[in-house]
Amino acid sequence: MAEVIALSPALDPRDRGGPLQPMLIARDLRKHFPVKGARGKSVQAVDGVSFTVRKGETLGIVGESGCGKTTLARLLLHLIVPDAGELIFDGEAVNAPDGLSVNALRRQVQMVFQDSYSSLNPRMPIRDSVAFGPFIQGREKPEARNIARDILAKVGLDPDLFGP
Amino acid sequence: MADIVALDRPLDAFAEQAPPATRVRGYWQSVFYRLRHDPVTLVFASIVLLIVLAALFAPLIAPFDPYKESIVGRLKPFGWREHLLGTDELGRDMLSRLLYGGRISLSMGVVPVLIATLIGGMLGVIGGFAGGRVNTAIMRTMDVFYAFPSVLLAVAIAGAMGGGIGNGMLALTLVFTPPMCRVAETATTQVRALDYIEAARASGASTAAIIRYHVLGNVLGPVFIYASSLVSVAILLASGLSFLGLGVRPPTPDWGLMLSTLRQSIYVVPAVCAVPGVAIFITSICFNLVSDGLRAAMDVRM
Repeated sequence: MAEVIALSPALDPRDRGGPLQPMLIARDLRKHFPVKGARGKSVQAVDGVSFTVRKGETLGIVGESGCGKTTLARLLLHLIVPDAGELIFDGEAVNAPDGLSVNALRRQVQMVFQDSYSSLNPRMPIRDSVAFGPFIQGREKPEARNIARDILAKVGLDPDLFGP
Repeated sequence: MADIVALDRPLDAFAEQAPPATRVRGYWQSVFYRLRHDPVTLVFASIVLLIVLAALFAPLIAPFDPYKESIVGRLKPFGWREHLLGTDELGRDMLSRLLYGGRISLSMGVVPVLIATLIGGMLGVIGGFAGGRVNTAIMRTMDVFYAFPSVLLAVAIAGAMGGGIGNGMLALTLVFTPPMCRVAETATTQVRALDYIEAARASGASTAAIIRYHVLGNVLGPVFIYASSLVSVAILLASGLSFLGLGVRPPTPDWGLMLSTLRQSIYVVPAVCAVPGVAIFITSICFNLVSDGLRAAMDVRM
């Protein structure tokens, strides 16, 4: 516990809750999908999941296929709305009246998809795919492209090879 | 054996290699690059361009007045008294009529397809992206039109509202909207299920932004290719309508109408009677081949 706190960055402007505030708290998340044709029956994809992730921690979720791992991940991003339960990101309740808006959450959380072929728009060069996030969050196009170039360079990719 | 150089650190051999010199192209750049290296498409595209230009500048090129009749000069063969392609049953110059007729035949081919692409494409993207009941409502409505054979539908509409170029175009637009809508809907449905749409949504993009930046670009390819192949069908259908007397009215020159009125003289001057048919044939073949070339050039997954 003490080590985790020591590892977390001391002064990051994005760190709003402070080092002791858990990064993400899920409380009793639930999502049931109604089954077509069967009245009243439903698939209990996620049924009362609770966990806490502290800053600097990594959480792995393991399970057989179809047990709701992806549904849980989609719930964490509010890509699907939970039937019940609470999501607290850095001390702020997500989608609550006085909490964090879904759009503000999406500025800070992203998902990495399994299938790299369908994760990237074939019509866009990689640079524009990377720049899409900042662009859609309100940056100007040239500025977003510069951010994307920086990111590509940071991960060891030559930006000139990934966009015209 | 002399070629083999001992290396202290073998990985350096890779580290020192310069990255391959590749030019990175945007989407449209790469499409034009592929088109430039496709001689067949280029040749047929230039023929299409030539036909369009010839129709456009008909008043400048046409050697005679397309409406000028002559009692003595009726149904003359190729090359008779400077009439390069002969004369028709009223003694009018065939070449001039062919050039002027191209204006109407081509616009009957292009305009309905353009309008149908706009309307059908829009409805298809909306239906495909919304899914569910909205999609069912749109597509089932389209299916009603789809159920009619296209020629029959065009004849019925043109027949009900009377002939004329405007009504003919309207009929063709109605015929082409459902298949256009279906192509757009299929493409949209396929794209919508892909992860990058979900990733865009997770980045905070609104539905409008997702359609604008991720869907339209991927739907444009199939829609554009299908539209270019429909142009030849539209020219044929328009000619068919004129042939049946439901499109253009005489004496306006139009390829289908010319074919129709000349058919009685097929035993007198067979070559002259075939001229409008050949024009229709060449134009539609060229449009089809250009469409095939575009299909190859615009496929991003190649």
